[in-house]
Amino acid sequence: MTATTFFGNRARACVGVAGFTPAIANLFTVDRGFEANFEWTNHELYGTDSIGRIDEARSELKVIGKLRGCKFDPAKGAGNIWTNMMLAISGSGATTGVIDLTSNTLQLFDVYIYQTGAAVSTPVSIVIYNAYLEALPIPFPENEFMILDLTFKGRTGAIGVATVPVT
Amino acid sequence: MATKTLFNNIVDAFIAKINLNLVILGVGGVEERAEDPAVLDKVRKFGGYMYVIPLAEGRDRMDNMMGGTKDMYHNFSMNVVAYYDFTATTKSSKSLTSDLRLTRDYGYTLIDLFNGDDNQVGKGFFYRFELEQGYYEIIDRIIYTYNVKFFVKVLETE
Repeated sequence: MTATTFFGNRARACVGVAGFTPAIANLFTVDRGFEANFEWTNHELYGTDSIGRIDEARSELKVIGKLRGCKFDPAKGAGNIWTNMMLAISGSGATTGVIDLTSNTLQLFDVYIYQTGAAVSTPVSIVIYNAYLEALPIPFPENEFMILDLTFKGRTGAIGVATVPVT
Repeated sequence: MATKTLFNNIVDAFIAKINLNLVILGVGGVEERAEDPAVLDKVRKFGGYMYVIPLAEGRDRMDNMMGGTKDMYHNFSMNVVAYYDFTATTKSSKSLTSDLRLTRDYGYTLIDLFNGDDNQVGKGFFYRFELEQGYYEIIDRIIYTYNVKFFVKVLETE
């Protein structure tokens, strides 16, 4: 193995419905930054016989992810990540983009984030499985380009094991 | 698309739109070039002339982007300099006060061609304008001038 550096601009992200196989067609473009954060609650046990920690345990895993993108195809408004993949739109809404008020199902999706290094082609990869969108802020800023800034929460994740389409 | 092509497309579209509005801008023509030393010859000939000078002040700041495309985030400015010799035209009142206003009006007219929803030229978007005007004397003539600085943002290259 060769240690090398990983410049953030080479990162790519593929987004698809939970269980999808990442492909070039699923790339999230043009990107302004990704982030994956594995969080959990740590529990520590102390006793009276020692000042040292006796035991520890972990619970409540949360995989928090962020995607920022600034180039969109509005023709894909219905049926893409804006709607049925992230917004839990089902039924007729999945093709029209209209939120179905009779459904309370969270639509889950997977996110593959990966990047190649300066000296090796094997990518560093992070996968966030079964994520749901926490909110969908859509800014229309004055004198600036529109950037989607999405935050989502996954059920679980993987580090460094995913097969990803390297570009 | 090559970055130079993206940039030149913006400049060419900008000049093309000015060319369609020469009459209301009071000039006989517009060129992409430094104004000296042609200004006197052109101004005498047409009464007014305009020069587009990209990157004359400041620089094109380009931020590389993620995603594997050639898209870059450009932020730059283009200057437009116009010169008028109203004694060569019938518009002259030969009054410093009114000719200053006439010069200024031409400058704002130029800006009005590119503000509001008309602010896209090529794939560039104008988001700020700065106008300044002045005049100088050459022997028996007063040359009026204004300079408009157009600030441009471009994100999409491909």
